[in-house]
Order: sequence, then structure tokens, then C-alpha cells
Amino acid sequence: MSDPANITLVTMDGTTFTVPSAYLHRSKLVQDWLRSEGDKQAMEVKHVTPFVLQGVLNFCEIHAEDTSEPLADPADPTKPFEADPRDDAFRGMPDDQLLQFTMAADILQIPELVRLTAQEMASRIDGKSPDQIRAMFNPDDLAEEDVDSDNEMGEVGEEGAISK
Amino acid sequence: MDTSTCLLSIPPEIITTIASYLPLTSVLQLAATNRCLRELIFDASALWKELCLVRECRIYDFSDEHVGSLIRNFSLNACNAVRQVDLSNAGPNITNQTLELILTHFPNIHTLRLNRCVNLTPSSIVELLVSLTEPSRAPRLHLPHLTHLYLQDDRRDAAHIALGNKVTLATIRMRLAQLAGRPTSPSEGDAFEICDLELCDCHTRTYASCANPSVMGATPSTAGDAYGNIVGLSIACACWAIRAYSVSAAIARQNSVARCAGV
Repeated sequence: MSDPANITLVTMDGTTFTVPSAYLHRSKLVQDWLRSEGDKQAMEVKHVTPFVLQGVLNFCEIHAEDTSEPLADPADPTKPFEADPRDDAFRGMPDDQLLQFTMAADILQIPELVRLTAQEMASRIDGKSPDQIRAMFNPDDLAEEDVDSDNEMGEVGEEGAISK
Repeated sequence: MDTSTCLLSIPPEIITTIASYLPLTSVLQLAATNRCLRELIFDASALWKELCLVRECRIYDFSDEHVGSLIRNFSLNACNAVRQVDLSNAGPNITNQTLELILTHFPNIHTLRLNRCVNLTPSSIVELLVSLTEPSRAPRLHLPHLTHLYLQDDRRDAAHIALGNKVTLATIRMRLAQLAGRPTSPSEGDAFEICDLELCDCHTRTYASCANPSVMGATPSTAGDAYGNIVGLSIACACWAIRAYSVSAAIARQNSVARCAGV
């Protein structure tokens, strides 16, 4: 049986990370696993790379002793959010890495990290044109031809006027 | 995880979360990048509960076509989610066409703000509401949550006070109450105050003006401009002119007392 004070996570390529279970008290996925399958040796996190999991665990370690109430909804507008200097690593990372961290936060169900990465993503998207957004996030998969040629919505021009 | 992750590989609820942190203009830009994103965003009920077009887009020349092209992208899910629409200050190109589009597309709307939409006059609103509440209309329009229609204009000069009459006001209230499925006359229940139109003091004319304009309230210090002049109020109705005069006199008295007291 595994050590209850620690938890071992296995990434998609078999890399293992053993950390105190308390670090992951905000991860609903981990907490559910500990309750149901905590007697197993290790928890598999199949869709996460070692680099990304290391970053997520760093976030969890930094915030392990935070006393704020767990966040139920990452998009809850009633919960004020202030940038935490301890999270600056997420603000400087490339767009594709940020996307991977967003997905990992969702897979591990850590609402605080989802909120952080989602807000950072939003701040990068804000003010960008559709072309710029496509260029940021894997343009091959965000092909322009997917947009209806007769898109009636109209684009909001940079000058503040709606152009058809 | 694939290291070349695409925005579309993120679960839809996370994309909605990202969009919830964006102003409306950027939400529209994001939606314009790709058809899948567009469908996702215009189906996300969490994004469309409040639709504040002018304030969020900082655009002051909206037209019926702009509003229409936006609303027509909404899925049924998103239409049902809309609770508030604010088109205040949207400019002169918003007409009954937009009002009809809003009332017919958002069945759960409870508040509609059309302040300073100068081409939406009480009489044109009456015309639309009468057609929307025609007994022969099918399907019958029902807006059970509609509780507020704001038409006030805080600029109280002659050019910005929308004039109507007592019958216009009564008709608007009755038709709105009918749409909401509420009693249409005081005898059937409590008076249903759904619209902020008001009657002047002598009960002869109806105004889409501020509910507490200085001449109607008791705050003499705000009644006039820096020189003590009353701005344009006497043009609206004679009874307001009397009030304006009274308040003006009150200000003069107040200033006189202040001068005597050496303030």
C-alpha cells in the first residue's frame, strides 16, 4: 500500500512524481482517486507531459498552504481575483505551453489553476483580431476556411466601428 | 498530451470560461476565428445573460442591422439565457426593428434598457406593441419575466424629451403587461409599473424623461446650470415651467441667504 502522506503521479511517458498529498488538496480528480483507489501504488495522469505536470505541481506546492475557500466555479464573477506574483511563471510562458497547462488544470480539476490560465489566455486574446488569434493558437487547426464566408455577424473594427 | 495543442482541443466549458473574462468586442473576435468557436460561443448561455452592447463595445453608432446580425448568431440556448439587454446610447439608428427582434428572440428577458435611443418614441413603441399583442398573432408572444423597460433620457432639454400623452402611456403599460401575462388594469390587481415613462404634473403629457428631474424633485442646487438658469424645461410642459420657476426662485433665495451669512 502506498504512503498515505504522499502520492505518486505517473505521466503519459511513465515519468513518476511523488509529492505530499496535501499539495493536491485542491485537485478534485486526485481527491476522488485517493478516496476510491488510494490503496494503489500510483495514479496515472495519461494525457499530461512531465514538463506540464512539474509546472502544475509547482503551482500546487506554492498554493498548498493558501487558506482561501476552494473555488467552485473558475468563471464565478462574484469571486474577486488578484494577480499573485507567485504565479508569474504562468504569465511569461509561450502560448502553446499555456494551452497545455490549461488542459492539465482541467484534467486534474484544479479550479484555481483553471481560473489563472483562463484569465491569462483571455488577456492574450483581448484586443487581437481573428487572424492574430489564429496565429497564436495552432493556425493549422484554426483554419480560416472554417469561418462562413457569409458570416453576417460583422467584425468589430479596431477603430471601434462595426464593419460588415 | 499532444504538445501541439490547439485552442479547439480545450473542453468547451474552458473556452467559455476564457471568453467570460473577455469584453464583448473580444468575444466577437474570438468567435470570428473559426466556425466551431463561433458555434460554441454563441451557444454558451453563461456568456449572454447580460447584453450591454454600447457600454462593452464602446461603439455609439449601432444600427438595426448590427444588432440583427449579432442576435441571429445566437443559438436557442443562448436566446433563452438572455435576461438583460442594454442598448442605451446606441444612437439614432436603432428603431422598432431592433425592439421587435429583442422582444421576439429573448423569451426570458426581464430588463430592456433603451435610454437615449431617440428614434424609439412612445408612439412608435405603441405601434409595435399593438402589433405584437394582436390576438391573431401566432405563435402568441409571451414574456413572463419582463419587468422593466427603460426609456428615460437624463438630458432634459426640448430635443431629448420624448413626448407622448396619457393614452400612449396607458397603452404601453397595458400591452407590456399583456406580454408579461399580468393584470392589464389596476382593477385586476396591483398597478403594473413596467415602464419608466411618466406623466407631467398636470397629467396632460407623457415623458420618457428622468424620473427625478431637478424641477420635479426638491433639490434646488441641482436644478439649474452654473448661472442659475433652468435648461429648456419650460418647453416640455407648462406645469413643469411653473415648477422650474419655483425651484429657480428657491435657488436664488438660497444663494441670497448664503451671501448674507458670509458663506
